[in-house]
Amino acid sequence: MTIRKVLLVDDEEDIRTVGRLSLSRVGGWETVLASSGAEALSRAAAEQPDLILLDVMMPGMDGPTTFAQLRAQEATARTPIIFMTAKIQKQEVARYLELGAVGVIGKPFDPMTLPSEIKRLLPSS
Amino acid sequence: MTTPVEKTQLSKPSVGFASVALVLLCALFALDRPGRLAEHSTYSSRLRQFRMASMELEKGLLLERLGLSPRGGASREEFSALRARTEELRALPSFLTEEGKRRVGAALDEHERALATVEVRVAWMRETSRDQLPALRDGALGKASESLISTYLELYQASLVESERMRIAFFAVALLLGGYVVVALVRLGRAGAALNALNAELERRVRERTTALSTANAELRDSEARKAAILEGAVDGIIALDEASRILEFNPAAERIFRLPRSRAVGRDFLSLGLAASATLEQREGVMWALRADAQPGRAARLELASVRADGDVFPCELTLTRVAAEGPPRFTVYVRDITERQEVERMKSEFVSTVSHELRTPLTSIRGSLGLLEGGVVGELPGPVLDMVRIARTNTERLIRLINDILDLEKIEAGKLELKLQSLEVSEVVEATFAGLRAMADAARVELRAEVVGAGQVRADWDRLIQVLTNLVSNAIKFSPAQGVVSVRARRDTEGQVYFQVVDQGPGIPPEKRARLFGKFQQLDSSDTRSKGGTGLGLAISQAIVEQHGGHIDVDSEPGQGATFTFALPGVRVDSGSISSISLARDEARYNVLVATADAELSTLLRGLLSGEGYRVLRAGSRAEAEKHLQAGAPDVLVVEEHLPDGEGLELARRLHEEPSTREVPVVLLAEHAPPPGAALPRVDQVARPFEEARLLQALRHAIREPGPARVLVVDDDADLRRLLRSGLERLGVACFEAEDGERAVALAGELAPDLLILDVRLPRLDGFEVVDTLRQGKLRGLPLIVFTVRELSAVELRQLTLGITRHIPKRAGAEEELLQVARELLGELLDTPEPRKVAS
Repeated sequence: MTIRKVLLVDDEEDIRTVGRLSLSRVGGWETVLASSGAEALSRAAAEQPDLILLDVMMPGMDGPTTFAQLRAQEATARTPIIFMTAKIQKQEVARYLELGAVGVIGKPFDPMTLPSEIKRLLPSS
Repeated sequence: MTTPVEKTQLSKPSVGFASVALVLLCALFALDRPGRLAEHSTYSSRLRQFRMASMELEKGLLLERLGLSPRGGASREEFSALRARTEELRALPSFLTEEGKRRVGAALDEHERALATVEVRVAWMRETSRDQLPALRDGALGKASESLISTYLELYQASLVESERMRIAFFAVALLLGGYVVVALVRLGRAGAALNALNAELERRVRERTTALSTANAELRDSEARKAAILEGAVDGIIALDEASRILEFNPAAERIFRLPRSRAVGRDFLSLGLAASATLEQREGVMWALRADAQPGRAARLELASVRADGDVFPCELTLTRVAAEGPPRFTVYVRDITERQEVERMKSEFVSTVSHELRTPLTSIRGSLGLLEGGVVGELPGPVLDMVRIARTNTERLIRLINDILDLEKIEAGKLELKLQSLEVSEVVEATFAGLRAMADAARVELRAEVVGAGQVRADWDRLIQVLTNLVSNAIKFSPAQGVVSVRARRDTEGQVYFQVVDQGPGIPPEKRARLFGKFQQLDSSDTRSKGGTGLGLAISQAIVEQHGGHIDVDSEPGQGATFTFALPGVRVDSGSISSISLARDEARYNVLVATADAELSTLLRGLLSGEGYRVLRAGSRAEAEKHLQAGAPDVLVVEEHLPDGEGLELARRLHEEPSTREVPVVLLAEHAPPPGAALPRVDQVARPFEEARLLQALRHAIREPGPARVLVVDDDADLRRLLRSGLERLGVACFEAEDGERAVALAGELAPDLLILDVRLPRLDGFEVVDTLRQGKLRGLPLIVFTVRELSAVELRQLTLGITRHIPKRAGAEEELLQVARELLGELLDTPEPRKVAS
């Protein structure tokens, strides 16, 4: 699949900044940002991204809850979602994959290789 | 004391003898001596009177003849009186013998005849003349009476002698008997003395015993008191149960924990008292299993479960159940610990570690990211010295991240939360995978990596963790090796089947005084070392902990200046003697053998890791020639070949393979550069376009290896109705459905059928679901897709245990059959679309 637009959801402003630079400058993708689960829902509906990068630990609505809500709304029901987590443990990865996520990326990530890592996770066709 | 006293009373013969002796002595005295005397004096005085009368008669006759008798001599009356006396004397005394009586009788007869003669002569003389009278002077009567007396006296004397002899004989016998009785009495006396001694001894012993007993009683009371104090003072609840799980004892801690006085607890059923309604069936069965009648004493079962207090308050509790080793009906002791607090502490600790880790990683993500972008020139080119500074900052940030990872790892291991996924691993593959990850580092340090692992066979270990240990040891060795040095990993199998791993370097060695703390935390030997080793100081501590969890221990041996050798042993996997000689090339019958032919080293390593992890045995070839050499040694179960090899085309190899009779049936998966044009399908060749999804490749392998035909699904459940229901649903999908009602049958059928999907209940007769999965994991079916379909709630650990290939867990509940069929359809994928599985995939 071809990616043109990515929505990055993270409550940390610095990580949003680093992530945006990586995704747009290294990956060459249009990058939209959201700082919370609630914002992610409206931004995703409005922007129709090709991919959503979703932080797990967020105040208020956490990653898995946001995931469920994104799946529940028509516009984002089938958008590929990749979780980003600082607590990368096998168990948790398995749980997110079972939820239906495309993949899980651990933090801290390398901004220079983040886009290729994302491409690796996405279905090849 | 046990002196035997042979006779403590008279024997029966002794008593008999003594009685006879007494009777004889009495008889001796009673012998009729007075009777005989009286008889004798009567008879002898009669005899004397008889003689007097005889002589008077003769004197009268004599006087008559001389004419001197005034009355004319003896009258007829005098003769008759004498005759009467004679008759009187015929009553003889009783003591005379028959012979004696005969002789006395004869003498009396003699006298009677003499008397008759005298009477006749007197009568005749009186009628004729007196001349005839002198004839009477011869005294015949006197003589006869004299002879009678002397005969009698003689006989009397003889009888006296006889009687004396008898008395002497009686006396002698009585004396003998008396002597015997005396001896018997003496012995009786002695026996009595012995008996007295014995009695005294017995009494002494009884006194001793009594004293000992009272001492023991006192000690027992003390001991009881001490034990009671332990029971009373124990913080854990201690409960004794009988064979029917009824409460016999209930200590004060148990009273506190259950908020129930002992008096109300004793006699109640422990299972209904102590287990909360929320305790799972599995937990209940666990408790009942520990309390079964044939439980082995001394082997405790420990369970964590929900328990309930008398007031209905449910609390987490740890039960330790053990059968008491004693005779008689089974008794059990249950130790009850309220683990509310412990669980809370564990939860808080784990939450703390997880939070800290998150809180540290979040800012590090920003720092690492910013530095990466700067260094990567994303925000503009940096001048050289600035770039150097940024790189220093970036590498140290990474070091900090590694440190956090290590601390978390160590915390997990120390908390016992690290669960090993033990499997049989080919040692050579493990070492190869370790080297693959470290090659860049070794190249940069210009250190050669060498593996000496021939014949080491397989070990039972966790793949990731064993590689982590070896990576730690080898990377340490590289760090301390001089340029052009060699780091060797040696593995050898000893006679007991242990596999010894050695990591040998040529570095400066480790001084003896520092070896002890080598495995401590944050122990870098030389903090003044100017070369930055970049380690976290936790690597060896983690490695040691991992090896210890595998049941081994890392030792270090080193001569300063001669390098160091780190050694540890792991349990090996026994290999059948038949195949041990050809272990490197021969097929491993317990696994599917995959030959991977590619010149791309990175792809080769990636595939080896991926396929080994799925339980395949991987043989690798870097060229078409090498691949053909492997194929000659033995046909693999599947060949994975890159489209272009340096010395030929992958498809060409596949074609040649299928021309050979021995390898005609070997399926091929071709790793193509591009999606193949439609219609380019070849028989027994599947194509997977690069870059490929792991799952897609694994599926292609599974489908290539499987026996052709419709998809086969094995349904394992002890509920026949449910099996029927699932079968009808599955058959609608076009699936060949097989059923097993217990675990043993499931394992047997799975081996026979090589199914494409296993639907497995957990609670099964004979082997349960866990055991079925464990058994299948040992063999070729470890990659079999699995749906665990159970009413049981499974913990995260159990979920991990219940895993084969792609594994899904579907809880049994109303309407779950639909979900199950949906998942089955998804897992079987293209097997459902066409009965012929080998087709070209895009």
